[in-house]
Amino acid sequence: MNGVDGNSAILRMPGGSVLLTSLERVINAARSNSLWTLTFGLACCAIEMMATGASTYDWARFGFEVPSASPRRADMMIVAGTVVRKIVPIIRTLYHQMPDPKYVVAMGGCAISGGPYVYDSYTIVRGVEEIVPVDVYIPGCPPRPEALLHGLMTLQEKIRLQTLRKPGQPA
Amino acid sequence: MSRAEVLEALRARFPDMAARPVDTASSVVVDGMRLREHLLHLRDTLGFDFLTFMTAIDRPTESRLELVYRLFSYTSRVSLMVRVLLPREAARVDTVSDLYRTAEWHEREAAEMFGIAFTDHPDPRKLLLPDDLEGHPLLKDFTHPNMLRLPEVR
Amino acid sequence: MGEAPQPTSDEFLLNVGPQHPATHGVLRVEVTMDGEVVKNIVPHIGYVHRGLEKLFENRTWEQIIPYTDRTDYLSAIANNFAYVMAVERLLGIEVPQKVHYIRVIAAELNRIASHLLWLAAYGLDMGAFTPFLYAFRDREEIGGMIEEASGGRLTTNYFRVGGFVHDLPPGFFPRLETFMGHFGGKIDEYDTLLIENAIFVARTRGVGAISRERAISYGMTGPCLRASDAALDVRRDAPYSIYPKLSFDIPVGKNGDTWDRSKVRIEEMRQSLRILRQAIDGFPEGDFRVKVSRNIEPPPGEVYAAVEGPRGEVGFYVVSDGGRKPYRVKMRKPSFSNFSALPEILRGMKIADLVAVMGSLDLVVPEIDR
Repeated sequence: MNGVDGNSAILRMPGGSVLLTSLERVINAARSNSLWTLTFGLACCAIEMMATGASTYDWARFGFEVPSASPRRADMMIVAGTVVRKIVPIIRTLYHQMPDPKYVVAMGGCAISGGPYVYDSYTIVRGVEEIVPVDVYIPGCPPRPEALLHGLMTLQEKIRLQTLRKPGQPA
Repeated sequence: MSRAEVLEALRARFPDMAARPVDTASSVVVDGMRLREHLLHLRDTLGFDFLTFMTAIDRPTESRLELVYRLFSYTSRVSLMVRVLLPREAARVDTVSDLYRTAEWHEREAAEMFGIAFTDHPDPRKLLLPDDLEGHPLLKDFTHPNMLRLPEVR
Repeated sequence: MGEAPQPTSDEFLLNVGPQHPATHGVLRVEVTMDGEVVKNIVPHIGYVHRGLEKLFENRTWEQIIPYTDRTDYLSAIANNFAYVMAVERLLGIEVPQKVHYIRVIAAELNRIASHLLWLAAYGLDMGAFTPFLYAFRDREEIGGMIEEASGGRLTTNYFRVGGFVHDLPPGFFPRLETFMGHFGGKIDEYDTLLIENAIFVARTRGVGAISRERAISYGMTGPCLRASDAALDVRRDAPYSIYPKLSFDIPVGKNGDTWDRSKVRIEEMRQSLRILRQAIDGFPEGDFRVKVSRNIEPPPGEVYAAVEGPRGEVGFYVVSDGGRKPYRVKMRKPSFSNFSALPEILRGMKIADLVAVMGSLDLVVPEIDR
C-alpha cells in the first residue's frame, strides 16, 4: 500500500479527514475481525495453538475461523515453536509468500528469543525476529491458550490502530 | 529359546560378558572387525532381532570412541549391550543396516555426530544436521560460534 | 482396431513439507510418483534439531528434567518417567510405593491424553473435524487434573529424582473419579464416530500394512508394532514401577495395517482406564518423596531405562562420570524408528494414502530430531 499522503484528493475535500478516519475504522475492523492464520506450528506451542482453536477456548469467535495451510491467503503467521537454522529459508519463503498486510506473532519462549535453548545449542536461532519482523510476542513455555488469545486480541488492537496515512506503522 | 538358554549361550560365546547390576542387560565388548559376524549370530541363532538403539560415546581421555548397540530378543525377552571400541581418528566399522533396518538411520546419526564411517552404508547423507554445519557435534572438543555456553551453576 | 494405447507417465517429484498441515510437525518427505502411485519416498528430518544431547552435557542432572518434556510434548510424563527412573537406578535409590502409584496414574492419564490428540489430529487429516473438537474437550479435563498436580498442562516437569515436590492436591481424586465415570462411554463414542465409521474403514483397512518381521527390523515399538501382531510392551517385557502388580491386556492387531494401528490405540485407552481403576483402588499412604541430596552426583556408571510411552518405547541411556552433569545422554525415541519404516510401508501405494499412513504412525517430530 502506498498510503494516503497530505496532497491526496480525499484530504483536500472539506471533511476529508473525517471520511478517511471512518474509512480506516471500517477497514481495520474488517481486517482485525477476520484474520486468517498460517498454521506454522513447529513444536510444543503448536499443541496449545491447536487447543486454542478447539472447543474449550475457540478462537473462531474472535474471527480466526480459517487456519490456512497455504500462505497465499493467510493474514498472519503464528510462529509456534523452536526456530533452528535449517528451517530459516522456509520461514523466509513463507513470509514473502504471504500477501500484505501481514502480521507475525511470536508464540512462546523459543520464537521470542530461543527459549530454553538459548545456551548450548549449535542450531538455535535466538528468536524468529532475526528472520522476520514480529508484531506481537506472547511469552510462555508454552503460553496458556488464554495467553495466546490475549496476544491475538492485542494484535487485533494493533491493527485497529493502524492508519492509511502511514500504512504498516503503529498510529 | 528360553531366557535361561539364551543367557547360557551368550556366556559360552562371550566368556568376558559382564553383568550390570543396575540395568537389565549384560554387556559384551566385541572387535569391530568381527561385528557383523557376531550380530549375525546373535540375530539368527540367538533370536536378538530387535535393535533398540545404537549410539556412540566419546572418550577422549582414552583416545577412543565407544559404539554401543542395544539388542533385544522378541522371543526370549533378553536384552544385551554390544560395544565396539574404535579409535577417535578415522573411526570405521561395517554397516549393519541390512541386518537391522533401523540401523540405517542410527548409523547416519552416529556418522554425522561422531565422524564414524560405516562401510557400505546405503545412504550416507546427513540426517539431522544442516548441510553447512562443520564438525561433529557430539565429540567432546566440538565448538561452534552459534553455541553460547550456559554460565556455571554455583 | 487394436487395444487403446496405454498412457505413459514420467516420474515426478512431489515435495511434502516441512510446512504442511498433515505432517504433524516439521517433516519433509520427497515423494517420487508415477501418476498416483508412490515409487519412492525420501524423508528429510532435522528441521527442529536443537542439539539436545549436546546441550544435556552442560546441564545438571535435575536441570535436564524440563527438557525431557519438550522432546515429546504429548507424552511429557513418559519422558519424565524414563529419565527419572534412569537417574534413580544410577543412584541406587528406591522410591516409596505412593510415588509409584502417582507416577502410574499420571502416566496412564498422559497416555489417554496423547491418544486423544492423535485421534483429533488424525480425524482432521482424514477430513473429519468433529473428533477434533470432542477430543480436545476431554483433553482439557485431563490437562486440568495434571495442571493442578504439576503446574503444567502440556510440558509438565512433574517428576523429580526421588519423587515429587508436592503431594497430590486435595481435589485430585474427586476430579479423577468424575473423569473415570464418564470417559468409558466417551471411548465408545470415539470408536463409533471415527474408527468404525465406514469411510474411515474404507480409507484405512488394508492400507499401509507392515509385517511383524519387518516392523521388528525397523525397530518399531508401541501401537505401530502391536498392530502387526507383536505383543511387545515395555510394561510387560521389562516391567517397571508397579506394573507387575497390575492386570491389563495388551491389545494387538492382526494385519499391521492403518486400521489396526488406529484400533489398537482405542483399545489402549480402555486398558488405561482399567489400570487407573486399579491404581486408584490400591492407592497407599506414605511419603511422596525420598530424601535425595540437593546436588545429585551419581556414581560413575551407565543405565538404560525405558518406559512404554504412548508412541512406543521411550528410553534414556545415561552415562555418568561421577559429576554433577551427565557425561552422555542418549534418548531412545519411538518416533525415530517408527518413521524410518515409512518408505517401506508406502512404496507402491497411492499418494492419497500418504496422509493416512503418516497419521497412523503418530509421529511427534521434535522427538525424531531432538
